[in-house]
Amino acid sequence: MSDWFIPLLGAALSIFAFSFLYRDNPFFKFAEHTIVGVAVGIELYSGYQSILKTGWTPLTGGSYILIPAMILGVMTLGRLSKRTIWASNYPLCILMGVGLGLAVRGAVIGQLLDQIRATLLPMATPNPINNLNNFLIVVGTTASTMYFIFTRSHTGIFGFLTKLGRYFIMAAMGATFGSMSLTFLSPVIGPAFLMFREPGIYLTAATLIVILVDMIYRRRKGV
Amino acid sequence: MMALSKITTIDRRWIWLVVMIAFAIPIIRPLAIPIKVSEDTRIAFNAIESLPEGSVVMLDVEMWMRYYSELGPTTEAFIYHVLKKNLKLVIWASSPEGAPFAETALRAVNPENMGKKYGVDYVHLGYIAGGEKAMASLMTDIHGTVTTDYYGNNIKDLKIMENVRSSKDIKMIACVMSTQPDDRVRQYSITGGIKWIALTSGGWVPGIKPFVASGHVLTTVGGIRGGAEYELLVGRPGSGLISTDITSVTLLLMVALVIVTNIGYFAERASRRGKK
Repeated sequence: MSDWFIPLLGAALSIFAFSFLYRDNPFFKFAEHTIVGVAVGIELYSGYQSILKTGWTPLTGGSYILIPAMILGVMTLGRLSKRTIWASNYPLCILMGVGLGLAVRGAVIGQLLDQIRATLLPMATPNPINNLNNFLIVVGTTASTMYFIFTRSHTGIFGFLTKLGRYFIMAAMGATFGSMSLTFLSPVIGPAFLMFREPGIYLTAATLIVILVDMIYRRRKGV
Repeated sequence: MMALSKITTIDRRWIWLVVMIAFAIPIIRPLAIPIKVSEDTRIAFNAIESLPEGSVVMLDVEMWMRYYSELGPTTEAFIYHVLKKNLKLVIWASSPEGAPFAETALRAVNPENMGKKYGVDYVHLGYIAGGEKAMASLMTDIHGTVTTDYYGNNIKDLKIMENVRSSKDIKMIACVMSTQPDDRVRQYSITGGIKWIALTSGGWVPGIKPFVASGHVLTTVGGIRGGAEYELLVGRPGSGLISTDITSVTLLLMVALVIVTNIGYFAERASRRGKK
């Protein structure tokens, strides 16, 4: 049964979701609420499983060192009431401290020093294309960084360089936007597979007929 | 001229219909538009190929519902490749939705059909909360971080986990991801000392490239196109290649629509000037 029922259910929900493109309707609302509900359900279940796996099971197995962590975890629920909100501040502070401590070492090496080193590139290699790429990276990085210096007015040669930096930033944003537009296309592709493959394609065809009938009806009524 | 100027006032629902048809054609009848495998994807493929048999590969799945159609084909092709190469695969999810999606990808690959056994050749540890903290913890002590797998089995009872205890036992990490790579660079590259492969959505490729240049990330397999290329390399054509057809057709349509509507706009402006 699941061979056809689950794809059909997926196709139906996809059609309900896309039906908004024609006009707002109760089917769209149903799909919208279902998707939100399912997403919350998955998050809750995964969170519950994670607590079991990394907290409760080892604790009941004898890892009593986890007791303070579990208490701190329970304290985060203090945010649910104004009277107990103070209790949640302690685990949040610890979480921020641990997070910062973990991140700072890697950040200095990986995101600062190594990034600077990766920008210091040779521009006189035997490969001319490589030289051009390296030149663009060096000039682009330097000029883009200069754009964010606000303690000096952007005039003269400095102004030229910051303007160049702005163009590099715009080019980078354009490249990101181009890639993002492809990424934004992907959420439509998954449902499209359900809608245009058997058994969903029959449902899609039926929906198109219903929409066509509705269009004719509304036109006649002058709605 | 009049017909062109009317384009700008057309009911947008006709455009949705045309886009829908553009989506439907490659699904109903795959066009098999030829694609060239990029150097980035080939580096990822060769990295897995070069690992000795029995090496442990970790797959960190950080996927959200809306990204499955983009990252699903890459994930499936990657899992298939790792298992086909007789490598050991340890999967964990760093996002709540990553765990069921990793399960979906595993079911699509069907490792049992390839003669692979759960707990011996591959394991799914499920979602581990904590983000960067979970990554740091896994790099130093996997058994101390997690006690049971996705299905509730004690990981001490799983043969594959006997020799997988920290980053020292892992030869390669691949991350199915749709966010900035900073936390993974800090924990996998700096703390763990492992170069990793980013199986990422297309939108994040420009954000990861600087870390490829600095040597922290081995390479990126980006978006639908990357997934299709990986499918080609492992010889398992699937939905990634069809999705590439869809994106090609749809983007061509978008470009055509942009050109036509701009012509329409200028035609409308010219006719308005003519009336004045």
